[in-house]
Amino acid sequence: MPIYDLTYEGFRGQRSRTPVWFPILENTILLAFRNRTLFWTYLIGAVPTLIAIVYLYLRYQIQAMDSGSGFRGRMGAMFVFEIKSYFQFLSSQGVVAMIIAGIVGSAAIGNDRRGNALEAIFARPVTLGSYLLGRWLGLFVLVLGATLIPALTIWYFDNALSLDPDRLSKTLSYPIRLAAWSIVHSTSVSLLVLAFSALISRGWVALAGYAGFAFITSGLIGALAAAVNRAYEPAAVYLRGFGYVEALFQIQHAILGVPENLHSLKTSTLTSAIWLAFLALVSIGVLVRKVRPIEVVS
Amino acid sequence: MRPRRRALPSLHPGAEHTCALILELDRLCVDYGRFRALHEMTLSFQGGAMGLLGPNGAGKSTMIRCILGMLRPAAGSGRVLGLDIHRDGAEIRRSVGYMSERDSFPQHLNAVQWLTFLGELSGLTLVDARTRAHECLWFAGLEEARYRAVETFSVGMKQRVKLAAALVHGPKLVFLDEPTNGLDPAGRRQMLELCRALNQQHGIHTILASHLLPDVEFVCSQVMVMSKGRLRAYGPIADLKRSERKAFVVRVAGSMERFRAEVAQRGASSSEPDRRGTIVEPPGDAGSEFVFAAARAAGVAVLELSALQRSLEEVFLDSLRAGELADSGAAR
Repeated sequence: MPIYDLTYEGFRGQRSRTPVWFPILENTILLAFRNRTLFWTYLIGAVPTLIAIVYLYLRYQIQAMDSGSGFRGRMGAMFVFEIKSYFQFLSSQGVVAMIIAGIVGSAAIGNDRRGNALEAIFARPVTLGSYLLGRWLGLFVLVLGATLIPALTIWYFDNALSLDPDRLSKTLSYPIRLAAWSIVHSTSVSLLVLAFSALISRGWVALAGYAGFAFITSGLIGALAAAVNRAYEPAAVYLRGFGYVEALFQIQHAILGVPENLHSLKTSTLTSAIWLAFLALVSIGVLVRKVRPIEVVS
Repeated sequence: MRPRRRALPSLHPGAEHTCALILELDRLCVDYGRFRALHEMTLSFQGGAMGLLGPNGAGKSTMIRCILGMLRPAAGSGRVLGLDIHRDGAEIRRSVGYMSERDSFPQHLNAVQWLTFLGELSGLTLVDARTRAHECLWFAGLEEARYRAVETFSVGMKQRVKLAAALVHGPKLVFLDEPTNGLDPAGRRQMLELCRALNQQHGIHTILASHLLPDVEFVCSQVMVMSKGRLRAYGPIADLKRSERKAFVVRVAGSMERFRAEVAQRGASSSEPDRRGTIVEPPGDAGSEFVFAAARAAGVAVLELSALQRSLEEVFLDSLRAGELADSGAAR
């Protein structure tokens, strides 16, 4: 083995125009797809989309068999695909997206901290802001991909298969609403997961912490709200907004414009929005405080 | 007509600056909370290979990290390749390579991917970064192992990856922090040869931080001694090793006892002979002719005569001792 390559030459090249956070984003996505669990989660997450497309196809085929007066037409009218259907679909996709965020994000920063890679990264012209932006955007894109792409795909097939010539004008606002919800959901989820990853270096512990926070706090808040509900119902409505999962669902209701089910527990949109915004800010604070190029001991 | 492409900015703005000084520090101080880790460091490095010597905790790594903009200086100023350490931290890190003392690797990436990523972070395009990753890993002797995950590497291979990572963007100045840590003698020798080749064959200015004196002596022509966050000595190794005493190391053919007796008779002192010979301190302004005259009178032949030099270890220990005396004097 040669001690060193005598043909080695220095490099005096030109600077790339790419912003410095972009390679970090690429790296986050590259590392994510090394994880086979993520691949399977994406695959499983695509199943509801396929079912929805088949459902839409069958629905419009049945409707096409009869013009709406006979049995088949009544069947077609019964299985309508409206914004409420999108809501139900996105609720399940939201859970898939949260799982994806957990798998990818829980180790995104933790791995860099454990391997001390942060020191090597920050020895480059990388600022804290660009590092966090790159990591967050990488995770955000992956989470967004699990909600927005399936939702837009369904919307496309809904319009492509529909017999109604006005279907497009009727559903023209859907993509904006779907995108708005996907962005809010992905932002909130990805920031929270990254904050856990910055707090806890071990990926699976961070994942457990994130899952515990999301579901246990919802359970606790739900129980507390149930207790308060007996004494003063409006307080319980506000309180429920502080459950993480409930807050996400409530914002989903508000953005998609779907009224709450009569039987569902009422939750305040205001407290939900405040809680999600607060969590996002706290997550950013945790990221800024915990991600340091050098762990100063003294 | 095809629009003319705007020229991309150079990767090394500092390198374009034709500055006489590679590194210039003026009363630089760094604090960790209330603890002052670096006290008023002032130095000018004109290029070449410089050793940064000091015991553990002397402030070597702190100084390097401050120069790279990873730590904010509490006071003072500094310039690296003509770039201000207060203002141009990002530009400095683009033009300078840094091999960290501690292992700093990601998980689940192979050596090529890791270096490509670091190259891109330094401002290289993806294609350039990938090409450079291969070149630098080849240079560091890791050509066979470059597609293996870095976490599976031996200590020696990890050190080589760190060296290659420091070079991936083609820096003009490179900081090597304890590059031989944890290496066996053969690996250490190879690493030191690589470090020496950087400056001697490729013209990369090198600053090597170590507490191993032979490593510094092998690679560097200049040295800077630090302890307790203060600069204790700085200059070319040859100058620092030159003894303040005017004395000669003499080896003779014939009776050493007769020669020493003759030297004593002529009013000079000589030490007990050892492997090197005896150290003769001529009186007054007398020079080497005194030694030859004494040898002639004693009937012995001079085999070897050289001016007395201190070892680097003596330079280092003397600097530390002088520093401690100065500290205790200042405290009183």
